[in-house]
Amino acid sequence: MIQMKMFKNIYGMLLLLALSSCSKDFLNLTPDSEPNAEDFYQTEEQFEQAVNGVYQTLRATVNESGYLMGEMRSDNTHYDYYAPDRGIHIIRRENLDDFLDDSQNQWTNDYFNNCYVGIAKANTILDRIEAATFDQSAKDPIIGETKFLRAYYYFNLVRYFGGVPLHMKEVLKQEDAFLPRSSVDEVYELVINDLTDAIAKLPEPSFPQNGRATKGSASMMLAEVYMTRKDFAAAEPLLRSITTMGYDLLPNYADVFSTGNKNSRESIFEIQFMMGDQGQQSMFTYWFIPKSNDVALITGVTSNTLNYGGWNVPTADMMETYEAGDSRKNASVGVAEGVIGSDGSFTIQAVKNSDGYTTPSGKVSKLFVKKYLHQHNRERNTDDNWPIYRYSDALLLFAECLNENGKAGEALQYINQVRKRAGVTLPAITTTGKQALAEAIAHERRVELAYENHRWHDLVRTGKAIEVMNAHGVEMKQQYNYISKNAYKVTENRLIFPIPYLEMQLNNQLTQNPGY
Amino acid sequence: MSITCLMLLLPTFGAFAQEQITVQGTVRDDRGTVPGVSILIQNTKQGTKTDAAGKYQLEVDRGAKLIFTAIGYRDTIITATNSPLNVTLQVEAKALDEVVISYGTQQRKEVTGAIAQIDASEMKDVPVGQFSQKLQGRIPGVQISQTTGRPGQGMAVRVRGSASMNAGSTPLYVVDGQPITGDIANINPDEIESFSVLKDASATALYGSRAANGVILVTTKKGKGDGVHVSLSSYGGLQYVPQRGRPDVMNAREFAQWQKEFYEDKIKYENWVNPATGVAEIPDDYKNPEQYGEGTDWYDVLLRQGAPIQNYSLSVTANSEKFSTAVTGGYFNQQGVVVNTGYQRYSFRANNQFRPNDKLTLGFNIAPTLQLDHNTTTNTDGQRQVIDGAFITSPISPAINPDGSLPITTNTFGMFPNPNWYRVMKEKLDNRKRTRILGNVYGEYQILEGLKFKTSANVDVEAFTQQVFASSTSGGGLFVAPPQPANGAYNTQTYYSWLNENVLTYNKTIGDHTFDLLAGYTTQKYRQENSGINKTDFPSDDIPWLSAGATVTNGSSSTTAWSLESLIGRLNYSFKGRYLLSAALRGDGSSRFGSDKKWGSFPSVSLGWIASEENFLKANEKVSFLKLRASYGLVGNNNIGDYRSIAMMGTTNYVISGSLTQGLSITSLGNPILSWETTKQLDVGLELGLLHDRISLVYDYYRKKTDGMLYPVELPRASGFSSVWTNIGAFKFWGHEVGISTKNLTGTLKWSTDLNITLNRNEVLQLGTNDTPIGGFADQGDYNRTAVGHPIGQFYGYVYDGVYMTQEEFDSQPKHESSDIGTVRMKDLNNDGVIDNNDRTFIGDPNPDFIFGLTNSFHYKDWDLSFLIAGSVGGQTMDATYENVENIDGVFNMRKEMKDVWRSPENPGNGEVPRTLTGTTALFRFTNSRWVFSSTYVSLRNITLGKNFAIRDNNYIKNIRAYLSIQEALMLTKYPGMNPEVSARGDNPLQLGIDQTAYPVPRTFTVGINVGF
Repeated sequence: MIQMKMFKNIYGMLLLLALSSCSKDFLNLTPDSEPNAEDFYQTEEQFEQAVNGVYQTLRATVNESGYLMGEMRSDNTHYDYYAPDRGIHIIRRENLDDFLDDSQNQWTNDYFNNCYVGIAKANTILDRIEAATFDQSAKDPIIGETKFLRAYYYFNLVRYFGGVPLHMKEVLKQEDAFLPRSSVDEVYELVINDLTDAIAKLPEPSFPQNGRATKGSASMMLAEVYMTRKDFAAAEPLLRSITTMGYDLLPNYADVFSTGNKNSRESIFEIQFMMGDQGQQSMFTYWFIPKSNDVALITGVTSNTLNYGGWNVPTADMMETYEAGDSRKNASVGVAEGVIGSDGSFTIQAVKNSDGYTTPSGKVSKLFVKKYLHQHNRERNTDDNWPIYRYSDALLLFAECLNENGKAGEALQYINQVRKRAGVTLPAITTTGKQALAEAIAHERRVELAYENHRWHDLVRTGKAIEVMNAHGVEMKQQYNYISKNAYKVTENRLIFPIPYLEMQLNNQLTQNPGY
Repeated sequence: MSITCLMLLLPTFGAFAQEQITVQGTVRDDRGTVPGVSILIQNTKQGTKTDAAGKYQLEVDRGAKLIFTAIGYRDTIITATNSPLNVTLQVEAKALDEVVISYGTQQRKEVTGAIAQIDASEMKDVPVGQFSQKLQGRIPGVQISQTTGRPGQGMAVRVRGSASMNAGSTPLYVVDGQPITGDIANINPDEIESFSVLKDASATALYGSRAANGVILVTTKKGKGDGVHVSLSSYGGLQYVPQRGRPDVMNAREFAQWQKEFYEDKIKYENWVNPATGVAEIPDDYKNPEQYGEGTDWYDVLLRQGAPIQNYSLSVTANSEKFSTAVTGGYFNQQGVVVNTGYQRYSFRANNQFRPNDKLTLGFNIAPTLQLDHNTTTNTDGQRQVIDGAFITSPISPAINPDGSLPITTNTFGMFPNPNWYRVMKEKLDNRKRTRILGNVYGEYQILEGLKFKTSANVDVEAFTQQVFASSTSGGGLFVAPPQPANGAYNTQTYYSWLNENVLTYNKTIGDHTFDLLAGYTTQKYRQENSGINKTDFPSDDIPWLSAGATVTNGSSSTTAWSLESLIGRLNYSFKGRYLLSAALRGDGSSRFGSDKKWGSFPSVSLGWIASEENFLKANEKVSFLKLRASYGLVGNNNIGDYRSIAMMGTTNYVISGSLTQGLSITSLGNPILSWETTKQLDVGLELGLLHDRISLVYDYYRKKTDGMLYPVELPRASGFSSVWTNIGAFKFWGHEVGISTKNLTGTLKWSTDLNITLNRNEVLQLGTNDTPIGGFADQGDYNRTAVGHPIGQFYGYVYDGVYMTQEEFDSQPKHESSDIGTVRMKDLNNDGVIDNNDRTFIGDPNPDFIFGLTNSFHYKDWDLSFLIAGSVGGQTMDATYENVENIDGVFNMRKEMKDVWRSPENPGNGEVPRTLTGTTALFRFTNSRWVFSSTYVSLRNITLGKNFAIRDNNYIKNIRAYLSIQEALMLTKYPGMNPEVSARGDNPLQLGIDQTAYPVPRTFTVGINVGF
């Protein structure tokens, strides 16, 4: 009996001991193989890692949504119609070219969502950096980069979708997530404020560049913002300042895009990629080359592009607009020549230059954008960066700005600088009539920045989109019989895309863009 | 002093002494002698037991009362008289008087919660590999469906229509008191003694934190009876896939004819020119349909009819006063009915109990198992995966060349390139090995009379490895044909989970009052580690191991853990054996919840009244048992990811200066107030036994409300996040369960019937912000919508309305932007003259009106026959394969009905199938009401005929039983697909009833032999 009691007492004590020591920590588990936000956003190194995260989201703006909305939407490019596959993912890409898209289009919806992922990351940094205890001089470039990137996302959102919800603070809980749409002016106000602050905080470009945003990048973007808002007076000094920051054109147009010349003197801002196994690769070229069972003759790598390729194909009108002697034609566009088999598939037999090419009889030829085609080892794993702003873009924009401000004479040197690089035999522009010069600059921008997702924005901001695209539509319907008769009805409403359907369902404070 | 007392006592003792006599005799029942019967002298602790021949002998006082007790018999009290004192025992009507409940057992009649107990022996001859398959159709309130026929998998179990948005709908499985964290397919059904399904709040209260979906208690066999018993049970059989329900796609000639007409229309309406020749002509493949015969039946090519299934279990039990053991070893092998698939399981279990003295019991159970899955967890099921991809392949293309070699790809003009799916299955390599050990050690000590303490340590450990290799000739998929670079992967996962339970119980009877108290403290921890490597660039297909691969494409390792801590308490009280009360409380803390919200408490109470013990009913001849009971309580659910309350970050690397630079960003929002999901449940029940329990009826009505559901509330994407885990939303469930058992005939021919019918209903009360519905937004692939005011997971889409047959119809009726004369017409539900997204609505309901199961058993002398019929009435299934087999773009094979295409106003087809004009066919492939079918079915699940051979005069073999059994003997249903229970996303209760093709459920013919030694 006595032994029993002792046993009971000992066990009782052990139990109490166990209870008191276990409880607190036993239930507090944090993940061991993933980092969590409680311990982060404190040191300079952590903020730098956070900024890198904001950069990483840039890639989503130049994936398929990028070219579909910014280039294929315009008169520069079309698609290679592939009858066998009428899957919804194919049809929705075609819809963007044909102006038949709706609010369920995954490409415009992804673009919208991805911009906001970037904005959320930026807001988190900006909200928390003030409380961090490291040097202001180290904080400034971080704030500058973050604001530049946030402005990039909002600038693209407002151009593509109109006024959008303006999130300027980190979303911490559910209630913070629901905001109504702001007006176009309010969004531009934020963009201009962010860029102005970024210009102040970012360093001047130093060469060789590493890919981070610089004072030049921010100045260029702000200039484009002002040009879009038709505030030519404010744009001029910014563009002028860019010409003194040390940028220069590379001697050869084709070299600008070579993977050996990343972040060159001509590069004002480009989105970085790197081929290999670390998840940093790009695959632009695989969307642009023709659909075929094997594209090894084009890429040097065996690959089946039936699921990927055939998009952003230069239109006949685009090819005709290149002047004789313009090296940009060959540098930007290639031709795949081959035959169509009995099962409807395209077999590539040769790759030719596009300049001066005619299709031999018995063969079929397909054009493709080759700007982003460079040596690589594995399929869909390329090294190419995507240029956002180049020095030639700055020069042409400067010329356009000067022309608008009545300084046509000064503008000529810049446009001719770009033309001379493109082809020594190209005649210089001499006209100083505002209208004529504006058209010459518009043409120059079209061929210089072709396939870089600029054309649509240029058409919209110069007010030419409706006229040009309707005319283009007439041509396309004549040329191709698969285009629906409802296509290319380009009105004011079609200058922006619809707010995503899911977003409209989730947030009842939003109103849809007219016509959708 | 003490010696004097003793000597004083002796005479007194002597004065009271009675006459001592020796009593002896034999104890029998209606079949023969009964060994192991316990004989106790009333009011003493003295007694004896009958031996193997049923004989006993005992010294007693004359006139003392002897109590004869044995399991399965009524207690018999006889006054001791001179020998011989032979006793005949009466069989107890209910053989199992005790029911297994949470943390113990209780007398069946005193149970106040809703519990269904079923003995494994009732289902012993059902030839299936998983024990949940055995339970199909047998328990009221429990819906068990087989959503896919993959060997070793596919059972979806729902108790009372349980559904939670994200915390799962599977019940908690507890094996011998140990809650199981992984799946339960590793358990050999032959190890199981009985199942208890706990359905209401009161019964499940002590598992409160994980009991929202019900609890299934599994009790494995222990040693009992007397001596050593050995038994062997084995069966072998063959499996066949029936013809009914196979996809009715076109054969080669029909397909070529269809394509010929397709291209004729293309030439006529679209100026189509054959790109290969430059001329407007039909492609070569389809020019002469008459040259083709049947072609390839792709579905049939993948099947291996007559695939064998076999099972062997050897079980040894021994029982003596101080020690009992039950050891079972088994081997199960099911080769799949799809080629090159199969499942094997090696299992072993040893349950040992030691009783060194009458106060202490020690136990040690261990059950290691090894499961080998060969290609059974791979991509056979699902949209455009192997099986679906196969029957939409061109029937003109061969699966096997005339010379016996296998082509690498198969397609004809205008179709997508795809692999030869037969070759893909033949060359597939996806082997999973799972080694699992369940073990527990426990000790139970009786501290005082009625006061017991039990402590146990339970362990669940699993190591899983998976080797995958896709050869260059079988890789790729739809749209991407081989040859593709070969790739391989090797993945591992190990977990261990330990549980420590300490429980103190006390029972006391004071006069008419009986108390049964329980208090306990438990802790549980789980940790898992994963790793995986993928490689490509193999020089050849010969070596399927990663050592041969040149390039690593992915490699990672990670870990996760959770913990649980609980306090439990219960009181069972009964007054006069007929007024019953049970109250329980459980407090749980989980590591998964926010720092302020880790603990939840789950109380419950239940009452019962055994009306048949009352004086006004006691003498009633007709009513032998009547009990009314009611319960109410709260249970919880914490079955979400381990770290959802914490804002997690993810790697978001970038490239600066041409090299990889670290980036980290918040990838999911945290929620510090994330807490338990709770379900309040009310249950009212009636148990009735009539005519000496020849008819017994159990009826339950339940109402549940699940609140604070753990759900990733969708956020506007403008926030940068897609969702945040919150406690939001409420569902309501209610229903009726009826179980009737009758012994229709009890003479030489015995016939008994068990019928159960369950009605489950549910309704969505509240969802996330603005009550935004879940699902049903996209035109394709988003089939179910859960919305407030509707049942969970109804189908959502367009309402099909035929075809615009004439120009006049087209001109006058509402149109879609892709419409033209001859194209499909959907209903314009909002009457705005336009067919668009706003014309989609609820088009069907996967929830059945009721489900039932009926078992009939016949015994005649040595023969027995039983059959189980199960069915579901009133639900619907959506055949989502129509998205592919009604694709009229000429890229897939199609249903035969598609041949009657609208071709012109003069040739409008059958009025169901629209025209093939480019740009107009997508709408026909959006989710619509045409794909919704009734899933009402009645199936003869199992029919078994057996014979017992009694062996006399043999020291080694006691009895042999042989039987024939057919599983899935017959299926009667209007559903055109193979399996009306199919559910592609079966583990998600919000997305039920979708058929995207699944591994077929075969019909199995088996022969079995059970031998008792």
